[in-house]
Amino acid sequence: MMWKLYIPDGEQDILADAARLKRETENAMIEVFRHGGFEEIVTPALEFYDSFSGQRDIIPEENMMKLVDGEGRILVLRPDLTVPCARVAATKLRDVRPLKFFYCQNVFRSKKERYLDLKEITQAGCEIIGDPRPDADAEIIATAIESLLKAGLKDFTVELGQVNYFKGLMNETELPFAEKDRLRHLIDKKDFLGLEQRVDEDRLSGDLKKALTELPALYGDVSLLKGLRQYRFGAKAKDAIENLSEVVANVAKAGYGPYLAVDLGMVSELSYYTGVIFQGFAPGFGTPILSGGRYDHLVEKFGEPTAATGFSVNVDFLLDILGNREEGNAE
Amino acid sequence: MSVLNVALAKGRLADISMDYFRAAGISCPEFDDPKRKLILSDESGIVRFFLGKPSDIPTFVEYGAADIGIVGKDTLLEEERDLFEVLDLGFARCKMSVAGPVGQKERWEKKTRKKVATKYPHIAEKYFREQRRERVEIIKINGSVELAPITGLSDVIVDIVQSGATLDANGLVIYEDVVTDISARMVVNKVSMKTKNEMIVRLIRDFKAELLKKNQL
Repeated sequence: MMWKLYIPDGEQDILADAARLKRETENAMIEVFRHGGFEEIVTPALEFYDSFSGQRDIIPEENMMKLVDGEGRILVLRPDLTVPCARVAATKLRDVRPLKFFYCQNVFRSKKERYLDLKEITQAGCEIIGDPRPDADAEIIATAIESLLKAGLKDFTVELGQVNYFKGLMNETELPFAEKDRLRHLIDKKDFLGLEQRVDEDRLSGDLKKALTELPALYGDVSLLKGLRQYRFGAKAKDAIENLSEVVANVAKAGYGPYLAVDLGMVSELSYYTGVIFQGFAPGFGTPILSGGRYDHLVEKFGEPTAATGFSVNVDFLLDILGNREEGNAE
Repeated sequence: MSVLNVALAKGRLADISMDYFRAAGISCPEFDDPKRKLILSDESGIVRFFLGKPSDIPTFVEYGAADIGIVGKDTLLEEERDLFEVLDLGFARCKMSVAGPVGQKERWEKKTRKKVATKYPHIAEKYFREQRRERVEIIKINGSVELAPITGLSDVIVDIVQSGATLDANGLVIYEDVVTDISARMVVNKVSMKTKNEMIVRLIRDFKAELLKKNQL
């Protein structure tokens, strides 16, 4: 009886103005998704644990809320919405390509997010499944930007990276995996000096050494991509830069150039993402409100190798920013 | 131009850091005032310093209340915040070790359930779990950790060791090292790195030049 007046840790009641702002924000975003030809997908809150296991980079096992069904099977409250899209694309809709999904549902985690202290979070996002072209990445990024704008957010930046740039540079070295991972960690932390020292010890040659030590500083205006074409460091890294440049050009052509920046030093989720990746930041908010990228190996997990790209917006973070700044309601 | 907010760990770390800021052309006369305030501005008004408890510095920086922080690697490992760790400043160098009473190491090794007193419960728990594959009882202590094994509160301690003199004076010796490369680090908020890029990059460059000059590298 003694807990009846309270709600569990990491949960929230959303009332009155806040509830209205949430609904209006979601509706404004959904309108953008529908306008772009994305169709809604509603998936169950409870799924089998097996569907979500093995994606440590994105959802570690210890962060999933689990329960056991009557047959002794492990269930989870869905911790993510891309995985259900991939499951549906590889099963019920395996003959339809490309698929364009959007969702606006809640996800559940067993640990509180560091910002806002929530375990139940609303995510709104889109996936294009079955289209390997850079046009699909550009469409996803443009849709993400347009949805933030329509939600009423004015001031934000979407930073783009390409995981194959780092992976390509590493392919050119003979370094053991542990050392590659150490370099990855230094780049991810933007530990400039530590990286320089490590690269010296690894005795890497000329262009490769220069490209690696520069990597943490490769962020800012998209024009810096042009400078990277001068290096000679293998086809994979070169293709990555070409691919990213094409995506940037396409998004800019759609009129969203002013919102773009690049950061090739984004190397934290390399086993999940396979191409262009991106994160959206609003000034004064210390964590991304938007994230996404190309994940060509996920659908394969459900038996159907398929290229895919997508994004999701953390609606609770977005509402916190909109609410605090009173930047106005959805347009 | 926007103000650059810098969080410094109170004490010796802040004193040494201030030398580096001075070398970078940022001086703060208020810093030498004995009745020191918690927020200090430099002469040009471009940089604002906060002085905080070491373990709070990564929190201020992660949330963006401060753009930059200078804090020991021990605190960073304990707090595990999501930050850019841009520069090893080389000073305040020490290591973190497991230490216990002289001559007791072998007996301790054989104990089924080991008691570990520490100011760094997260680092200690992780070390025993990942390096030794062992579950131990962690007892959080806030000061004078050496007291714990002497009074029988714990078998060993996990703490930072500089010269080893404190351990020695209390009949303790190092059993094994947990982290060997602890020193002061400059950390940067992930969003500030982009939004205040010019100021931050210049500061990193100036600190690096001063480090080279002082031969800390």
